[in-house]
Amino acid sequence: MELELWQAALLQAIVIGSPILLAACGELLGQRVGVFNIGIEGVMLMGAVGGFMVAAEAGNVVVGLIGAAAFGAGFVFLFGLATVVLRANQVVAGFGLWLLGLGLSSQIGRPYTGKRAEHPIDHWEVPGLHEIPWMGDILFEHLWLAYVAFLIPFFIALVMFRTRHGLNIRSVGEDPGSADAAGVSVIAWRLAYVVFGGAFIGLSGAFLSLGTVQNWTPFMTSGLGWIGLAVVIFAGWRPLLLIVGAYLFGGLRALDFIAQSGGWNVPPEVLTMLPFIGTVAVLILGAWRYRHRPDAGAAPRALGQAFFRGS
Amino acid sequence: MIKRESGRLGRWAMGCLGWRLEQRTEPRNQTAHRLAAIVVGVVIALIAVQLAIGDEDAFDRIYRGTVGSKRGWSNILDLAAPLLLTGLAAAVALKLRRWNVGVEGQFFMGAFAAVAIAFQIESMSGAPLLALMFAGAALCGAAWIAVPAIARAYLNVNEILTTLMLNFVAILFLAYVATGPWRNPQSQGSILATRDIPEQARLPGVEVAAVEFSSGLLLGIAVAVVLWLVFRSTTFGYMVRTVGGSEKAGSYAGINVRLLSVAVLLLSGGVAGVAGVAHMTGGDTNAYATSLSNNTGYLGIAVAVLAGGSFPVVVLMAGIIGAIISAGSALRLLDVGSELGSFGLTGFILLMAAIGEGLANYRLRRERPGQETLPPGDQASPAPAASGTGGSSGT
Repeated sequence: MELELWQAALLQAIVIGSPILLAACGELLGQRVGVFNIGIEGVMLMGAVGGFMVAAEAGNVVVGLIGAAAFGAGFVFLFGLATVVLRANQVVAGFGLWLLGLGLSSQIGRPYTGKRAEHPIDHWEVPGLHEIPWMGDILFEHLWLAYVAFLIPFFIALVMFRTRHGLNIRSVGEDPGSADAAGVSVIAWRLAYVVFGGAFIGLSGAFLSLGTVQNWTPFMTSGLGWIGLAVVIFAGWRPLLLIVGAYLFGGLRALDFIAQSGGWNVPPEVLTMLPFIGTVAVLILGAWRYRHRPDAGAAPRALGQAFFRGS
Repeated sequence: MIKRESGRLGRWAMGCLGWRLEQRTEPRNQTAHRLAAIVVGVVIALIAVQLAIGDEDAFDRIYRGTVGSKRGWSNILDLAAPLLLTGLAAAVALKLRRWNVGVEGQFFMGAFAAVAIAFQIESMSGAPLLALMFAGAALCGAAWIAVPAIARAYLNVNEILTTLMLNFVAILFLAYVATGPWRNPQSQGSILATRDIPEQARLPGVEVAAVEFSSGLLLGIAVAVVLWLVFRSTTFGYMVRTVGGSEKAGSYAGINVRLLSVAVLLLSGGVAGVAGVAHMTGGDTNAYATSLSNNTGYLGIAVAVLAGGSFPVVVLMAGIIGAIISAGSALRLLDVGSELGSFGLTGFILLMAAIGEGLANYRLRRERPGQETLPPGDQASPAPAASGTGGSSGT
């Protein structure tokens, strides 16, 4: 099948963007309750290695994915215990989590390094739709987990903005003091959601090791976790915009490869830089827009702050 | 109001033993807690090494690879030199409760400026060339944090996010430069490098008691002393201490808090830039290369935090982290990956230190059955936002 350049770019944007989207969803859940998980890259690696190992041992991809989610959640639980329950500093603990994840995943994955995934995630051709000319084979012939990744932000948005449960989530991140006074256990909600988010980040790692790459190599996420973090900020902490951000940043990364193979005159690094520069620009422009209203702004107001009752 | 929320299950478990974890109104002895946590972390790591390897050889290797041999000492000092400077850079920002998470990027940009200067005027003799390179590196490092610094001061944009993002831009910029006209034709694989800087632009090595190390370490100590004096006995230092204690108090006292905040972050970036050039001219990598920084910038933040932001303690802590990393790499030949040694161990220690600092918010109390103890002073002043990002985040 010969693909036009724009078709290849779009295809790769979805292939690379889907794990970014999963990771960003996980990070968003944590940040929305006020926990800034800067260790996302390490968590993703733990999910990648955990999913690969469990899938190899159990001989089943779904069990492997559950394993990846469990690895991610369990690893973030450490972080949650430190930052939420014991009020440790989130930046310090997050960097610790990141470095620990880098080292630990390389170590426990050693026996599996270089092996192929025997039970990878299958492709699923959406019946009917994938036969549409021009678009069908690009949009509707992906790993089944990619469709799930696409649907998750809608679900998050629905719960977060349309239910009382979601109101509690947001209140814990915006104004934990008031949430606490209203009878919401800030500690429990924060711990629950940062760990739940960790499960998604773990899944995003397995998307790579069991899906797109289909093997385990140390440091295989190569910065996708950081891009996921950037997407959350770029999207202004809004779940639906995560989809736009993830595919956009994934596409820019894809253009990098295409530019290299196509012999374009643009340095590929410039394209790869754009997500990070764009995120900084969005942050600054957003702050400029709200410069006369210090209380407004996109970020959850209690982001990064430990909660002490009575403060 | 009784302040205790250690989780229902945990409280029940501890309650059965007659203990209760109780929140202090004010964190106590954070330094002691942090140090204790590091010690506990190292002990746990050693036990893990013993369990995982089960080899008597391991401890011997660690000992000989670190403080047990001249070579080990020189390893530690060479690892400590860049950590010292990046640690100082992060500590400068911490004085004002700002987080310069972009030390890594400024480190690379400092090295870039130095390499650019060295290649432009290759014929110049050593000392003036080095001086120019260091000046250029400091300026370039400061320039790399200028946008986040100004955005933080005037628009209240969270500097943790902006400085972190610029790290990745710097690393990609490095990839661009190192594959460009200055490319080293011999560099292969994943390590990108420019050609080596001229011979006369390298820092000389130092040898004390048969232990060799880079003179970058001495430079780092000199920078630490200068920073310590500046922050201790100048008006600038006094202003930083005032504003670092309370921004409101600072602006009541007539200090231009915004300008001061920009100045401190620029200084932090400048020191990080110097760290880059010092490591490049003094270390094993004599070029602008991806192998220049083994997450040195991030580890520097760890050093600064573990040192509680105090410049003299940063010197000590850089040595300790250097020792931990070389202990990790000493295990490389046994069935332990170097990644676990260098990254995993540091990450674990960092996590432990954060937990230790968190634990300073609590005390353990014996609870007599049937008696609800209400400790004195519990209704007292509200707990402060612990040293964390408290007060500095939120865009």
